[in-house]
Amino acid sequence: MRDKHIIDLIGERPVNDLSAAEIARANEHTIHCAECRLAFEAAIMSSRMLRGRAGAVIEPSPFFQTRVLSAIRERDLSPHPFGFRKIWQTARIPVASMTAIVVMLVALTLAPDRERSPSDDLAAASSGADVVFEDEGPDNDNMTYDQALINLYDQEAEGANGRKQ
Amino acid sequence: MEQEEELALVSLTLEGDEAAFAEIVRRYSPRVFQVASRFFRRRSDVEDAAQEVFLRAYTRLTDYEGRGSLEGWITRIATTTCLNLLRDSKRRPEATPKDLPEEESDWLENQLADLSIERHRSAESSMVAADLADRALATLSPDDRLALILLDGAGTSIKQIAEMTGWSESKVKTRASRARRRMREAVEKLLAWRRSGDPGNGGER
Repeated sequence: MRDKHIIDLIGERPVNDLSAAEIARANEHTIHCAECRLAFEAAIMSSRMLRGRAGAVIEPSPFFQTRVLSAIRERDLSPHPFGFRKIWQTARIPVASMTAIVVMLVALTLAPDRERSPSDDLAAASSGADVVFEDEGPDNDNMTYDQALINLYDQEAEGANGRKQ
Repeated sequence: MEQEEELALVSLTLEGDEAAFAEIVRRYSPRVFQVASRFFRRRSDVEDAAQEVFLRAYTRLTDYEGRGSLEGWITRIATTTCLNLLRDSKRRPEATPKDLPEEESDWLENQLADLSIERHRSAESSMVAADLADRALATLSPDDRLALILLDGAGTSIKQIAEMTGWSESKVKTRASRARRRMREAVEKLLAWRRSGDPGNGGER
C-alpha cells in the first residue's frame, strides 16, 4: 500500500478534503518517495496559498453606489425594454413562419424550369404583358435603326448632289 | 417576502426609479466584490469589474424573471463578467523564484517549517499567501484559474460552480484537476528553489 504513488490522490481532490486515512497513507508513502513528497508538500502549500487568497476580500467603498449611478448616467444606459429572451418568446412564431415562406419562395425560384408545352405558349401569347414585350422586341428596334441610317445616307447623297449642281 | 421586495425593486428600477437601483447596488455590492476579489487583487481592478457587473445587470434587468434570488442572478452575471474580463487581460509570464520579494520568500520558508495537516486546516488569510498564489495562478488559463480558486480556495461545491458558470459538473472537475496539477508544479519549483537556497538557479537543477 505504501508503495502506491499518491499523485492521483492529490490531483483529483483538494488536499483539504482528504480523509484522515488518506493523509496517513500519503504520509507513509512520502517517507520513501521523494517525488511524491515534493508533490504532497506542494499540494499543501498550494492549498494554503489559495485559502489565503480567498480570505483577502476587498470591501466596496462607501462611494461605490454613486460611482455606478454616475456611470449609468454618463453612458446614458437604460434597461433594455425587452430582453432578448422575451423578444424571442414573443416573435418566434412569426419569425418561423416568415422563414418558412422565404425558404419556399427561394426553392421555387431556384427550381429548374420545366419544358414549356404548346399550351403554355398559347397561354403566354394571350397574356397582355407578353404582347407588349413582343411589340418592343429587339427586331423592331433594329429595323428602325436601319431605316434611320438609310435616311441619313439618302440625305447626305442628296446634299452632295445639290452642291455639285 | 425577500423575493417580493427584490421584484418590487426591479419593477421600480424598470419604471425609472434610480433610488431603487441604488438599493440593489447597496444590497449586493458586498457579494459582487467578493466574487470579483477572487479574480482580481488590485482594488481598482475589483471596483472596475464590480461596476461592469452592475451596469450589465442594469441593462439586462428585464431578463430577471424572479425564478431564483436576485443575488444568485447577479452572482452569475458577476462570475461571467469577471471571467470575460480575465480572458481579455494578458497572461503574465511565469514568475521565477529570483523574482520573489523577501517577504514571500520568508513566508515559504515558514510554511515549509510546519507542513502539519492541523496547521494546514486552519484558514490562512495572509496577503503574502495571496500574492504567492497569484504568482502561481498567473500562468493558468482563466477558466482553470476560476475552477481552482472557487473549488480549492473558496470551498465552493462543484455543483455551485457549475451553476455559476454554466459549465457541466464534469467540466468543472476536469478543469480543477488540471489546474491543481499545474499550480502544484509551479509551487514545486518554488519549493525546490527554496531548498536549494540558490536564487539564481530557479530550482532547475
